[in-house]
Amino acid sequence: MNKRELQKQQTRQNILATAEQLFAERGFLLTTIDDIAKAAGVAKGTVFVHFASRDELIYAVVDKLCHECDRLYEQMQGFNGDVAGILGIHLDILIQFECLYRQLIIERTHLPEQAQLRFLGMQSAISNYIWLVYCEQMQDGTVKQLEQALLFNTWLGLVHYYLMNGDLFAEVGRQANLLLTYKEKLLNHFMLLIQI
Amino acid sequence: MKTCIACGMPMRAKEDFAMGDENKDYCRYCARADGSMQSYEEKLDGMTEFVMATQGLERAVARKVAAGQLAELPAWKHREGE
Repeated sequence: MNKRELQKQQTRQNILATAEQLFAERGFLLTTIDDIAKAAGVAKGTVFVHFASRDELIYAVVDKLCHECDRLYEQMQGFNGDVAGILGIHLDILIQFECLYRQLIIERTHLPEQAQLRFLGMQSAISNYIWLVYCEQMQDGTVKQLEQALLFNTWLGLVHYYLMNGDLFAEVGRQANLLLTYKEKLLNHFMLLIQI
Repeated sequence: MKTCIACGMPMRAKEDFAMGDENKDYCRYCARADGSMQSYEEKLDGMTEFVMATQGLERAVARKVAAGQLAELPAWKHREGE
């Protein structure tokens, strides 16, 4: 790669990282291309050289998040522990991307369709990893007979409720670590619901 | 580690591969009984069912999610007209 190409790639990464940070802080909808250009220290036109549209930039950020999560979700594939263990891994991964993930689930229906589909595709893989572990425990008779989608949706219902309403459960300025604070509580409660 | 070109599943163990053949680029879930790789339509139907089972999504939405997933994979990336 020559110097010019390297510089171009660095500029793209800089824009992407800046967009990711601003989306995580302020949300996708309130962040403008102007904001991103300014924070990244580039001209607005430069942003459009790398990303043809705002939608394309949003997709790139969501895609990057999903790739990073996918890499971590590999821990869930072939996991040998119990349901509490795999749900704990799920929370640990969300904790790493908590702010961006919160904005994603709050603003999902307003995001470009491709970005939504990318996110939903990832959720199916997670549901399946959890389900494989759950099935083993169902056979052992230690957890209740439940339907796969509802097990996952009930779990997300709990986790997403806390994430989306962070202002109700954490002091101002401490919402970024909400899941870390509530991890044990939510996990223990969910296990009480599903255990026999 | 290889990932299946048709569904994206990571293939770690020998039994993850179609017919247990580690030279294959697709997984056992993407193989037909005779070992050949499923068609796009077969895969789209299967992936749609998977999305419905895992998240309870309505069929038309699940199909869109499935098509979006497949579009990213090497086996289907350059399909004409999709």
